[in-house]
Amino acid sequence: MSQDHKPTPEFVSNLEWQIRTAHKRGNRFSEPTRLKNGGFMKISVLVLASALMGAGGVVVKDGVQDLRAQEVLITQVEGQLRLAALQLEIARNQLEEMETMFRVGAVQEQAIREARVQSRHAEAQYMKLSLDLEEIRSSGHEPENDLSAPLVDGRDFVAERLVFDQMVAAERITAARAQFERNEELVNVGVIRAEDLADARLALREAENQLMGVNEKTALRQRFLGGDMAPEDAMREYEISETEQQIQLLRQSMEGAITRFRSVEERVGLGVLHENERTKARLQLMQIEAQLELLEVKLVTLRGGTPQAPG
Amino acid sequence: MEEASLTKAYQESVHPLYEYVSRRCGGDRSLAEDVVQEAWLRAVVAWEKKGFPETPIAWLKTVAGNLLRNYYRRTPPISLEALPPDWEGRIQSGGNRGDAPDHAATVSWGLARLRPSQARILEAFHFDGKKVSEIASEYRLSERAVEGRLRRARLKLRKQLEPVVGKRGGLS
Repeated sequence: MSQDHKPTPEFVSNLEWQIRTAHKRGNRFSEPTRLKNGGFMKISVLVLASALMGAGGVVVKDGVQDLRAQEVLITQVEGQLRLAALQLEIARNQLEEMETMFRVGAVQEQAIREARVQSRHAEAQYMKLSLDLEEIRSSGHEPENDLSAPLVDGRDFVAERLVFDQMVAAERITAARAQFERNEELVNVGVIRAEDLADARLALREAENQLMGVNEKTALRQRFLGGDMAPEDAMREYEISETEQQIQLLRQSMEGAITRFRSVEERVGLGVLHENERTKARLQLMQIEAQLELLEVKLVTLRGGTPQAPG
Repeated sequence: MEEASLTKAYQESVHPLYEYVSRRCGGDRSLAEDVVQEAWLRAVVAWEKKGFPETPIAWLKTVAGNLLRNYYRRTPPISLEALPPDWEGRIQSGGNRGDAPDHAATVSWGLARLRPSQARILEAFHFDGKKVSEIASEYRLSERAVEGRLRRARLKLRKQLEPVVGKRGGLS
């Protein structure tokens, strides 16, 4: 703890921002937030700040033209950034705690991997909001994140944000792959069943698909900026690619659901499981089938064809 | 209320206010920041309705002091065993200026249970490091009277702390 009894420059400037913002908004809020137990946490002020932004994150629509509107937008994003900074701090603390608990054997390694994914996600959110702020300051407009968005002062904010999405996706793959390999070992020694491995395999595929999706977006963005693609085509191509990946994932998910259904049926037949379990497994299968049909119709529409009525 | 006036008042008061709060919570930065934030946000609301106070820093210190007292009324004190052996002497000499948050928390918990006049005089001597002569001048008392009040306030503080945190040999 500091014994010099001086506030940090960061604290001084942050509080000044909060006071000026609160003053601008007038007396919309009568009392600052305080916890019921009488304790105080920084989050009370950040909750107030987020309330000043609007609980749902009110965003000024397209067409912000004048400086005042830009100022409002900047103030909103600055508030979101402060919240993101707190969320990042929480995620990092959580990761540290998991690492400590792992060292003493209180948690398994998967807990650290999951905490690392959360931390990476929080970092990405913070960095993307920082980019939003820079874009608003440069363009005077709300940030645009479509594949067909123009460059801003020669800078490609869309691609820069995609880099952080890649970072998160890569971390997710690392965690999912490690979990899958661990589950494989457990299946080999008979600790868990084969259908439990299917869940880990699916999680890995989802993570891989996520990265593929981000890479696809990056490639399409580059083609668009290179003049190889019209704006509307860039988005359509991305949607087609995304839908194809979702279909592939659902098909894998269906395989797992069929395997599970057969296993449940067998065990119901042996009297080991209740009939309800078979009903649940069948319902899950039907839900996946329904989702698959919808996506296949969507894909046909995107490609410019005429969807056939299902069934 | 003009934003420029508010900003000026903030810039002039934030450092002395922070120091005032930090000394009373043993340099606990997290708590000090929260109390300063809370005091200032209340100020924005109150001054908008009632106008700027004559002495903003005095207003802010009063609110911050109340916030701390309310906080410490609810905070359980640490054991006297955890305090340094010469804690009482250090209070007497004005040397215990928030050496550690835990110690300050214990003392502040006790102070929150004293009469405001007793707590204020102990805080002035103990946390703000004022001399007896300065306190005498401020309160318009003789130095002898101030010393008497300090002695009685310390005894009262000790009586508040002992039943809760237990006695230690040599302090009874």
